[in-house]
Amino acid sequence: MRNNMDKYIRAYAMPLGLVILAILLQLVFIKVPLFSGLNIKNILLETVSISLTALGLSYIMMSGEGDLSFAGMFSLLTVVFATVSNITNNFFLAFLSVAVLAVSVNLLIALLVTQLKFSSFIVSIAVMFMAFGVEKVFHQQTTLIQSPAIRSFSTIEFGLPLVVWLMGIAYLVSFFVITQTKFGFSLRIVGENKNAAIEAGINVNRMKITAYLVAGLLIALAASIESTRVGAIYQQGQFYMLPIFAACYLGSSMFVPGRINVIGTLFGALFMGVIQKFMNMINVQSDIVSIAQGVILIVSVGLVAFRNRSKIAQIKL
Amino acid sequence: MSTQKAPKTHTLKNLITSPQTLIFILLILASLVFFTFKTPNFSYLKISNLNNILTDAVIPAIFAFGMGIILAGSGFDLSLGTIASIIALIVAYLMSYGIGFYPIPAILIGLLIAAGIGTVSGLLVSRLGISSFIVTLGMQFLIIGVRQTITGGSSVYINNPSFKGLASNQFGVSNLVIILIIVGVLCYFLMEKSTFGRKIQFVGENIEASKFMGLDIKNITMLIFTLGAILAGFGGILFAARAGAVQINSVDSMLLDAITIAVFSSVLFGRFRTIGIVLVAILISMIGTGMNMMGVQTGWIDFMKGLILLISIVMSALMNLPKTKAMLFKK
Repeated sequence: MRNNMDKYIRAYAMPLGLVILAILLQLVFIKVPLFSGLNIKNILLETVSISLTALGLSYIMMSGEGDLSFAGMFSLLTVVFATVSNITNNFFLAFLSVAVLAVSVNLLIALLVTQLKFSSFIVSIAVMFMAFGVEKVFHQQTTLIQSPAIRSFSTIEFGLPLVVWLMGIAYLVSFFVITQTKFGFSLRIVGENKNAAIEAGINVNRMKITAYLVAGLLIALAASIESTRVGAIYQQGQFYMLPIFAACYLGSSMFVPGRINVIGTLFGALFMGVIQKFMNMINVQSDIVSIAQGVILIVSVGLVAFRNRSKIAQIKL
Repeated sequence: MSTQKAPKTHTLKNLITSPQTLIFILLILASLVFFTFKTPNFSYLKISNLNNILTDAVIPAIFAFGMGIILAGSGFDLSLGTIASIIALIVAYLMSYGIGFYPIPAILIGLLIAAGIGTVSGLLVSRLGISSFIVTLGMQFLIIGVRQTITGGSSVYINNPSFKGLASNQFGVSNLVIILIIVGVLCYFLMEKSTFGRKIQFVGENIEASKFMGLDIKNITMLIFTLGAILAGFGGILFAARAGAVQINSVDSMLLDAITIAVFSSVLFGRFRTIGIVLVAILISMIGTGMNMMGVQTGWIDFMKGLILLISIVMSALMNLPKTKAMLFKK
């Protein structure tokens, strides 16, 4: 009984704490309408791209690998999306080109990681820097999308904005796939214990490659949404890196402690969104926001690591 | 009977004839020939240009020494670029008119702060066991926020002539090259000749075994981050002396060079090797300068550096270098 209690506390203390923290913020700064209906909609709209990318990263991390390339790819993809949609005025063509680019780059990373058995972080850092370089070349002052039809994609509403529904669907499907299907089960085994997965007859490389491909699709979707909303985010990609990582690591400290999980990632992304919005509303400078995000990342990861410190046999690269 | 061969020692002759060093020298010669014929009037081969290439290689090489030490201990540091920027800012600020520190105390204070930042990352990695990628990513954004708050985004100019003298040209070659040689010799003795260097390599190679050997893995892991941050801070100071003015993010991009050089050298040698880092730094500087003279956009030069990093990884895997496997290959 006591053991059960302990398990629940470990799983739900963190999310409860975050909710209480958010409510406290609202109560202390009573004049700031943090949780008015309009504001909640805005927070959701602003976190769509972060939470979709974080979901993609979760797939990769669940398979036991890591990725940094999305920091460079994200801004490159928005530049590509803006450029293609300004030339062709066609949303689907622009999305298709972005998706093909993202998926093929992720396939390349996945092949290097699985076939050459090299550290995924170093491979993806190389890709990140290459993406920064290419972005510098191809950025031709296309910061905004000209066509109003494409721009309106992020403002279509059915109760909530369409893109928020899309995010919800992506998370629902992912939750179902990860927890209920054989594929999700295999993916988690691969990340948890590679040797056990091999013994169980799971094709480890195929699982990892699939995870990278799904992540590529999700980041393409996220970048398309972000560029219809704010235009191409030239050279701002690295500022998306921190909230996304923080969302994943915050997520791994709740619901299923010590493991990356879908609901946790969503919760982490929303929390990062709320904090960012709150800081914007009380007029904190943007640099303080990055300090706060850095602290949140280190603290959340530190909490997870500190709780599991007896299990940590090796200092991880 | 046949006399037994003497065990191999790292004499200069062995160093030159090791296959990896030969590869680097061949690559350098190849790019020398390539760019000489690609630039108008063979201007690439002028002594002044070659001197520039050598000088350009100095600061990336010092960064790469720091990154190489961290890699040798099986860590990684994404915050080196921002550490260098903030140290350059601090040193320039300490020497500015209102405060007027002499260069040497200013530099010492800067290096001390760098050591402090590195130690904090090192403590988080070694005591809590957090992945060093995550710690240094967080640290990077902390520093970005802090420096923006302190400076408000403005640049700091340097008026101290003796500080600028660090990068001046007195003996035909830039003082920076002499500094690189001094730092390189220090790193050589620290990492390749001392017990401490061996311990770092050992922890990087097999942390479990070194724990059973009774090595102090926690403090060794912490110290690699301290050393890396000190070297990065020193690189930032040299950058400030050379440029004469410091913007808040002027040294950030040096991270790409540091990673490329250190990983390239590390995967080919399978360990920290001073000569390898210096040679790769010269190679990268040659390629960068050559592409610049051919009129290639800077974006493509950055792309090229990332590509070189990727190629070095693939090359090491294809050549199947035995020592490389223990390092950098996960699990």
